[in-house]
Amino acid sequence: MSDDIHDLLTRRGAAWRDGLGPDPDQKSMLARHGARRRAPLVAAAACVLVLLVAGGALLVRESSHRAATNSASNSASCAAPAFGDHPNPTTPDFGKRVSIGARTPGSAVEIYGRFYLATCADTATRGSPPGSSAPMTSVVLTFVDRNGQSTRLATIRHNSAGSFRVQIRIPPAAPAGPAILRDSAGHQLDVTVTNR
Amino acid sequence: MQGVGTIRFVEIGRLGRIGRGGGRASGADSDAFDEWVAPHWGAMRRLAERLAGRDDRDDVLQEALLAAWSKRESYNVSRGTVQSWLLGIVANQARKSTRGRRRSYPLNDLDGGGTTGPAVHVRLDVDRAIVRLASRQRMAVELFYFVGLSVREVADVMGIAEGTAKSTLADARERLRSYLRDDYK
Repeated sequence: MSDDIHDLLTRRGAAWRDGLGPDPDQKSMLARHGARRRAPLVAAAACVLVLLVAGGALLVRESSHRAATNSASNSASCAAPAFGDHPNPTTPDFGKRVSIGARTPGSAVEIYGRFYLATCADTATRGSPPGSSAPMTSVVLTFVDRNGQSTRLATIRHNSAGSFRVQIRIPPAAPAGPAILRDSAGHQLDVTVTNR
Repeated sequence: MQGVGTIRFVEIGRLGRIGRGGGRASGADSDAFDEWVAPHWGAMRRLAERLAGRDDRDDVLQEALLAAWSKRESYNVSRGTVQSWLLGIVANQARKSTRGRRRSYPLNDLDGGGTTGPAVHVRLDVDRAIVRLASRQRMAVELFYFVGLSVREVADVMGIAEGTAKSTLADARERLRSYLRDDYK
């Protein structure tokens, strides 16, 4: 019986081998294997590269957007109007008052102003220059004494950049005490009127 | 089948020097490796097809080639022939490939489709019975009857003594006889 099985297996094995097609190409299989084996690595590397490129593009875009915004802000300079008794006055922080000190009635004071602009182009779209700004018109300086009495001092003549320099005179009849210098836009300076 | 004695030490040494680092086979490295494997390629193909089926044969062979390439420096001629080493790698790769689905090979994968030998229904019965064998018995049968190795070569591949290979084959035949009893008693 075992010999029968041996014979059966021998014939079956021989028939099976006879029915086989040609062997697959050994060289191409080894060469293909390298690429096949690396395929996941290549795919992963490609994904990483795509992510890096996309991330880099976003960073560049964000960076250029910020640069454009900063550039627009710098050039437009949308600070609030500032005036004072010295050149290049700065806009005071919100809620803070600016004083030009003690002045006697009838004394002259040089007042400087900046940023008196009617429009403010502080927003610029990327690729477009910031809009131009126009100086304010009809700005009047007024003195208000401690009793609330107003005296018109001067009409401001500023240049195209919104800067001006003007000499005013403290009203000779101003009573001693705290007073203010105010422009028609609502900005003001503190001044103390003294008799000395 | 070509004898394993054709592999000379100088060739193995050349293989050991080239391509260190397990990188992709290329150029002279690959040529030397191909020459090394070529005498045993047919047996590797037959074993891969018997163990993994026709569809997975090439995958098994590719994995086996890469494993052989990366491990080539660990080959020790004193432990066995190149053929037994390569066929052992194929068997391992086939086992990995078919893990969990050993009993579910499509029988047409095993059926060689030859026009000679047993009739189709007998071939199918035999193949079905072989798949039911214990793994060591099946390996011995596949190597001896289908791959076409000698008992000594079967023993080398399986890492057992020649006498053990003979007894394993005898046990396998007895088991097959019991499986096929209804048809062949």
